[in-house]
Amino acid sequence: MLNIKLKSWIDGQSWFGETVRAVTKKKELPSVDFNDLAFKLATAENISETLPGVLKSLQWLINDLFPPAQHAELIILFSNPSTSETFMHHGLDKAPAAKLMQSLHHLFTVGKAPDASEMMVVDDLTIAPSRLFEHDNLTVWSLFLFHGAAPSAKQLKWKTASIETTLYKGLQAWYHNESKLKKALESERAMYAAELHDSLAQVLGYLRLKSLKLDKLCQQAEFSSLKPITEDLASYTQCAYHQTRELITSSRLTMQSDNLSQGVINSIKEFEHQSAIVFELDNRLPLNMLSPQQSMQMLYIVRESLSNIVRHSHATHARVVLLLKTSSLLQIHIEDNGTGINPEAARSDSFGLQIMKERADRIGATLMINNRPEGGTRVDLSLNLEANE
Amino acid sequence: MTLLKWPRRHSQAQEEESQLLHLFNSLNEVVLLFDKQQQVQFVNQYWEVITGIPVEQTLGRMFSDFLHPEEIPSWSQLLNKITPSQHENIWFRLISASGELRWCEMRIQSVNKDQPYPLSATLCDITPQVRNEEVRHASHRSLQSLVDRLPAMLYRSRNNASWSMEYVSEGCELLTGYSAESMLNQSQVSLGSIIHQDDATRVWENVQQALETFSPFDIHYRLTRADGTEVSVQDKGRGLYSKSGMVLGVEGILLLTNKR
Repeated sequence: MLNIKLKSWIDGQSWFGETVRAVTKKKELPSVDFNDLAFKLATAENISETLPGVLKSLQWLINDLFPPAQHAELIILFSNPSTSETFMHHGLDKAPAAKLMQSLHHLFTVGKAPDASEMMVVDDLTIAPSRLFEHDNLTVWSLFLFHGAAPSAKQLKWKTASIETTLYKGLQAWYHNESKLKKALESERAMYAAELHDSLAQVLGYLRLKSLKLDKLCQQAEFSSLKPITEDLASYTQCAYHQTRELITSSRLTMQSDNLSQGVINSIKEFEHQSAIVFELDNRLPLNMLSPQQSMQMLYIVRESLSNIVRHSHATHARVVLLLKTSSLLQIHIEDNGTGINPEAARSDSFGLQIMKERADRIGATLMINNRPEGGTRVDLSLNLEANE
Repeated sequence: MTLLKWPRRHSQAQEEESQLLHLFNSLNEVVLLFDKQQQVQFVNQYWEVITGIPVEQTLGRMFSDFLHPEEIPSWSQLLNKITPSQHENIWFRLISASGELRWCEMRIQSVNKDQPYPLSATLCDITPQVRNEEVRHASHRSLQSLVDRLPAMLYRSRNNASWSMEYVSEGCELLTGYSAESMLNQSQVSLGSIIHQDDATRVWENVQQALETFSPFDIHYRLTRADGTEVSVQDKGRGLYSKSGMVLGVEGILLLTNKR
């Protein structure tokens, strides 16, 4: 009831606006449907692709709203002080100067965030910031940059209110959806991990013991013809059991953190307690840029390498390095100073290596396992992020 | 006269400056100066020794360019809280020219007492110390986990009737139902108080006899667990003596045995 009332009131108002405009405006305003833009943002598949388009539409409007002498530009700034990262989006034809971006990064992320409503001067530009909202550690700002004389605060507010509301509504809704999606994904994964743990892992555990026993019994001379089969049975069952356990663990780990770095940190902590090996982590990844599927497979490979180090390497030191070689090439190196691997000595659980390779293939990563010239083993895992998108 | 004098004074100032530079470059420690934009305004030669990055390539760059990405938040935090009246101390990792990490300790302060910038700093390489510490930490951590996972209770106690504990391993909970912390220094419960009444005197006498003769003991007795049930344990241990033979304490291991 109330809705209908409100709607008709707005209709009347806009109709009234139309007539007034026809009389007073010389120039046609570009038609911008704010609701449509907010909806576009809220339902974006990939926000960093959608946002620039929306900002472009808004920038056209801004070009008309402000006189050319003021030359106003809109930038959306995402600031994350906890990781010291700033992301900026704009709908301009020419990207803002690197120096300006550096100054803004310092102002909004590194330093104490400015008072939301105060205009400020940065690199000869007047900037009017407005804090849209906060999400987790992220603060989202809208910035109006003026190359010429800036309008009065009152005028600015009047001209930009609906633009800010649109961005606020759209982005807020997008983040809201994202976190709902994440929660749903987490609970789904938790359910599968629990299922696996209670059903398959139990059965495999039982099969593993029985197949080992069978294999042992077949060592007697009278069963020598059965030996190859029972040996295979035992090692495959062992492998399946091991894989299932790791699958449960890695899905739990990615669930806790939903990012590779945190998963690796947790895994190192876990393995540290099982040995006297000194683990060193050198994590230079700026932020998580992997899909849950990629994270989980990468983490599985890291964990497999770490468990090999603890179980077989006789190492005293191990190092895990996570880095972005280029903006799209992620590399992980895991090395130890142990005895190295002998590719010819095929152990029953050298399945482990095979599975690592398979998992790397599944996400399009390349995996190399080599002996280090100075002794020990080195695992190199690299993933081209662009090729996978 | 003045014309002759002026160049001489100039060269003296130059000489002083080069002497100062010589002094800075002789130090086995990095000396740095930062401006308001946190750019490096001065750095001595030792910087290149630590990081492999030439001085010329360092001047004018943001110091955070050389830091490991994980260190940048704490570095920014430090710069935010620095005031002219105090100096700060920070540990961080630098990425050297070859991509290796160097652990460093920096002391940083304002040059002037009335304004925060510029900042002066000294930096020393503590990588060997950190590596040693990591090794020590790893061996301690590994021993600790080993001891705490054993299905037994390792202890060091004082030689008194309540056997008050100076150290108890985590296995305490498995044997007695009480947590290791609750038994430390009798904070909540003592081993003496949970030994079966009929066994307490025998335990005390057997241990004292072993201590007298500097020999190990191996005794069996009953404990009342936290839930009220009774368990039998085996206690193997020995005394802890000073050089003069004085008893300082008792160390040993408690294991669950089958009920008699």
